[in-house]
Amino acid sequence: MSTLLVIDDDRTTLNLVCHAFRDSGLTIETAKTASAGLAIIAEKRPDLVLLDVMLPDISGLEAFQKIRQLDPRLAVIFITAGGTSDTAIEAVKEGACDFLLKPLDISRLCEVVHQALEMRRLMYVPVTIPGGTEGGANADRQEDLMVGRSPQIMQVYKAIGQVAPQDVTVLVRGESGTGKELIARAIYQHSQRARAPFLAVNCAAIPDALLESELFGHEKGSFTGADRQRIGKFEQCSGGTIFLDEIGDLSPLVQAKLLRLLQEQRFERVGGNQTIQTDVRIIAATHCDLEAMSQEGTFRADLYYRLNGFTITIPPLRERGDDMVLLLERYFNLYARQLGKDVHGIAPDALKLLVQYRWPGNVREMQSAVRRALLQTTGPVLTADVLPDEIRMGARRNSRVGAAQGGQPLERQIDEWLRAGSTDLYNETLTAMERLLLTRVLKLSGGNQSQAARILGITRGSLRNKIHALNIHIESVVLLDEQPTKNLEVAAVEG
Amino acid sequence: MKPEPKVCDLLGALSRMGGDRPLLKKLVELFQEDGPVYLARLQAAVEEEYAAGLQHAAHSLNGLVANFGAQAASAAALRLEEMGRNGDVSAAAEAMETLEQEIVRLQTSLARELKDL
Repeated sequence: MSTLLVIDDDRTTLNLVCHAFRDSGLTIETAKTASAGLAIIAEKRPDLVLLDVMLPDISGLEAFQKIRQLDPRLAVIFITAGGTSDTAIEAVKEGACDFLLKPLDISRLCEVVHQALEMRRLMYVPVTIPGGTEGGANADRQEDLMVGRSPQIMQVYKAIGQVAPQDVTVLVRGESGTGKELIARAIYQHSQRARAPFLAVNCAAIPDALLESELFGHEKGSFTGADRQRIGKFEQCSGGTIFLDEIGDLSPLVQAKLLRLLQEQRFERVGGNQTIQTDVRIIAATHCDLEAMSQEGTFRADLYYRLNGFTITIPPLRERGDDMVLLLERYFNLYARQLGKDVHGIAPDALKLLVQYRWPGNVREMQSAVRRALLQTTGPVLTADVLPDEIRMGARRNSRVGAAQGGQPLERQIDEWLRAGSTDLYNETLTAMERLLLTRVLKLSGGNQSQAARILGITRGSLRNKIHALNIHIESVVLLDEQPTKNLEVAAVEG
Repeated sequence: MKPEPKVCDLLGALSRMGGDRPLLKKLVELFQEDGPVYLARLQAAVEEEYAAGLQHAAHSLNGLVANFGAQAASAAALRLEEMGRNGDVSAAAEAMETLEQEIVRLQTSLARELKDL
């Protein structure tokens, strides 16, 4: 359970914070002075501190420096009122997580706190790489374990070991759901920068216009709505490591700024003239085909070469042989315990289906499928009938004309995921929708990608990337010997 | 023309508190208890021309009244906070008077509006 400490001499703030998180499972500690707060930090090791900018004994900035001495990675969010936001901005430059303005808004408070706790988790929850003796997973310890011993994944472990201690840029490649973030965290945790911060930015999740400011910061008045200076991630994380996920989605402008950052570790805030010097290690990740994109001109070739110095490619789950069974065991045991299910094993026919399935969404899809199946299991064994449709029908559909998730209307599928308690609904739905759309259009165009791209209004390269990412197979099928007409059939093979 | 700063905005406050009326009422109670204490500290700092004390007490009071969207009281407290920060307390007594008036208006307004909420 995480602990949040709030240090503020204003009782209304303490009350409001306690109230906001009363049912959240967080433990809340309060202090009215910096010295009382520092004592709590030393004794109770909280995960996160909310710190007022001005305290009765010492200033918030001094308190922040003392906190950093006690625990350099402790997430600190400043609380400030109108007159003191400059101090809070200074604190973010020094590495504070974020700041909140008074009057506090509960929903914003919860959002910022949850983001900071997630950041803390990425830094602190150890990513364990299996050692010589397999199966060292300690289910009770809070850790993210890399599972597998296939030759393909052993190569990945080896590469992590090789590159982690060297202060170089790393590019992590792999299909969606293969665990690129886990690899990035493992590199960070085994690096010389392990005591410094780690920040993760999903480039695809932030609109282009905001991403530049998120990464590089902006000056007050640089655009409508920029009512105060903002410190970007590259400045905030100086000395640390930044994980840039979905790097294939960067706009040309951000690509250019990133290239300069990689070359010189220098940049300017949006709307600013001052050159900022930083010192960050970048771990980038993508599922996109950056070579193809750089040939098409959608991704800068010079940036690609800069990033590509050391590449780790994570194999898709379907190519990892016996790892599939190890991973199934791991998630089966983990979720059975978490969900309090007294289920002893997986029935042979269900296991066969699970192993035969192609897992287009890779490990993430497997986690979700096992969890959903366990939720629906009532007997002592997980049986085939509780497996998601796409897995039960998988074998048949692999060679048939495919529709999204088995021709089931998307709406019904969404309902099913909702019922199953999905926590990745957005990704699942978008993936299903994309697969449905692409399969339909490719079928219509008889497999002609240029025509399909025109109908879809996207570039051919982008379509190719999507076909690859979704694992859609375009096959030429000769129907019958005596019927010499060649028919193009598009099969959305589930993996 | 700039609109007059609000004495308070309890609907806005309530929305920031996720619609939780008991929480809002609790914060108003705390304001009624702590407001006079902060004011007394502020008054002492003004009399002693103690800039750092002025800055801190005004900051605390500003944070307290901001909870209720009390723009006028907040601006008056901020003015004193800035005087404290700049170490120029020459006009503090006058600013203090304005702040005291705003606090009285806020107390009256809170007592009235809380009943209607």
